[in-house]
Amino acid sequence: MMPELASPPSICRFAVTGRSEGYLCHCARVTEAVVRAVVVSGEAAAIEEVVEKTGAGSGCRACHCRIQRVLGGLPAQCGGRFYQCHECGCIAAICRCAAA
Amino acid sequence: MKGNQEVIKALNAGLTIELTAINQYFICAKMCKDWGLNKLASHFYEESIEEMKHAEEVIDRILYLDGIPEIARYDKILVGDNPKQQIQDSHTLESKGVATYNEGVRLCLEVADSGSRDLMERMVVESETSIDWAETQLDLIERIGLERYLAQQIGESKEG
Repeated sequence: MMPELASPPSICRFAVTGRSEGYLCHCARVTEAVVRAVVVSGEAAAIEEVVEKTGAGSGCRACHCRIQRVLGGLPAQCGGRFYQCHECGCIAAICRCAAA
Repeated sequence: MKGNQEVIKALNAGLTIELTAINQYFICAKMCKDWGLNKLASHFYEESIEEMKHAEEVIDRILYLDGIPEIARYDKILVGDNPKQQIQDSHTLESKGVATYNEGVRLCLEVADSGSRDLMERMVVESETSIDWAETQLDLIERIGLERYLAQQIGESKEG
């Protein structure tokens, strides 16, 4: 017999799966904290060096703009209504998570 | 053509949902086939292929706008361990798609990007069709019972 599944309580109507890692680079599964660490320590001062040290940015290159922001001392995500919430995967414009 | 960066972000948000849906529907199709629910398996399989075509259109548009498609970014792939949960998960994912693309349409109107707006409006309609299907199935389960509903989903076995 197949059991019935109940959705856990949540604030956002799409938040059914719990928190994800919030990767800066989805190809290599590297978080912002890992990239920031090599930048702050001085091990990497350019995108190519971040790629070499962490593997971030070695795949589809879509995260290069985020790496560039971290290199510039900014948060990886530039925010806006299409920023994706790590709690529910929704864009900010429709997210109702408390964390967003 | 150099496109609006926010529109590219909106398209990438839609692409994330399409890529997630390809995988979610595909595993649902295979699980339903394994359970002998061939008719339901065929539906999920066709949905998966449809989502791939949607992803193709979105990727083409992002490239046309000189953006980079986020092909490795996925939402959580919901794998329900029973058919009813799988249908509910489909409803959740498609609802998120409608809300995301509607926000994209709103942005496209603001920045006068009619090409992207046209694409995203079509995606809204496609997702609404899938939501309607899911709601119909859940209503059928409620009215005739899960066992009778599943009996209707056995159908004929196909190769694959």
